[in-house]
Amino acid sequence: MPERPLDSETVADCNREFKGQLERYAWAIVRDWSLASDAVQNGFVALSQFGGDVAPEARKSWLFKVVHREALRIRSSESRYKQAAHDAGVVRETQTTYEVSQLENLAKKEQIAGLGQRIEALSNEQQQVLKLRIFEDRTFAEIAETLQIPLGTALSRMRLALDRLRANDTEKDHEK
Amino acid sequence: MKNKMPNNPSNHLLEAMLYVLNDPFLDRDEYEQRLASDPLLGESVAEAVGLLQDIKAVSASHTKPVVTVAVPLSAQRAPVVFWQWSISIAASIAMIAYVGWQSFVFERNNHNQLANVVNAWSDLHQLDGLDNVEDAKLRSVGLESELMLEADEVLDEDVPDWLISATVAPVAVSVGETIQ
Repeated sequence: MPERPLDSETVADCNREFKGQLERYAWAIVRDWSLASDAVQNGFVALSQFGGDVAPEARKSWLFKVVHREALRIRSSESRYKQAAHDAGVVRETQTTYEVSQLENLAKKEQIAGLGQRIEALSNEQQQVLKLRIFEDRTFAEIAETLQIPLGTALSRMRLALDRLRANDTEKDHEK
Repeated sequence: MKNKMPNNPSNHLLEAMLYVLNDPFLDRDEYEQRLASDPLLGESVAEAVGLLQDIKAVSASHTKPVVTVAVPLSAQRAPVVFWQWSISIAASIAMIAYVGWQSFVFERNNHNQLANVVNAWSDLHQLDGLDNVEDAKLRSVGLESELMLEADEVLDEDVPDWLISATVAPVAVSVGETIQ
């Protein structure tokens, strides 16, 4: 692992560019925004201390790997902490909401409005699967059984729905 | 048995969504091992989390559900649905019958009470020859005055004068004074 520090300006640029993405990634592993933020923070500390020799085009991948490791470490220690707290009868609240700045909030509102239209434009079959999986928390096996379709078809409908939603996002990004 | 999808870029977002949603179809341990070595998969996971947040935000910003689903009636659900419908229809019929019976009983009681009053009034009318309540009032006033007159007559005739005057003007009795 490279051990030369990286200048603070470059670290700040990386932070602006990748922080949101890395936090969402870390959240998928630890399931808590506060812990996800800790994992990402540790990633940037590591970048500032040891990232001097990382090629600029490899910084993002490097950060993803470090954040992955940090998130797993935090999850592991958190599960140990939770077990100990549970044994001691202590309840700890998890941070379930992701806080965004006002400017980000405005952009987010536009993005969400557009996404709503795109969801409505999905076929009924795709909407069915999306709703059952995301809002009713049914597994794909249950969805297939409910809709009396093969499991592969249920997965395929979800994939097509996600692709359509993403494709539109990508087009929107290109338009900017 | 855990499943593995073909490592096809078109499946990356779906796999990531399965991971984020904790779907048992995906082998999570195996997927996390792949995540550690392939940052591109990590980007898909971040994208899936973002998309999921946005979809939920869309739902929260609408008063009506964004997606409405009509689930077809399967052979397994049919008996359940049948019983649900039967119970709700039976409950509705019971409720209507109860309300109907209650109003019938109320109506009948009301009618009986009125009939009793009318009968009683008509019996009274036949016995006394009274035409109305006013007559009854007058009658009672007349009886009272008759009783009073009778009482006056009794007082006048049978009570001695001294007793009448004693009740009107009480005798003052002081210490040491005796009544003779």
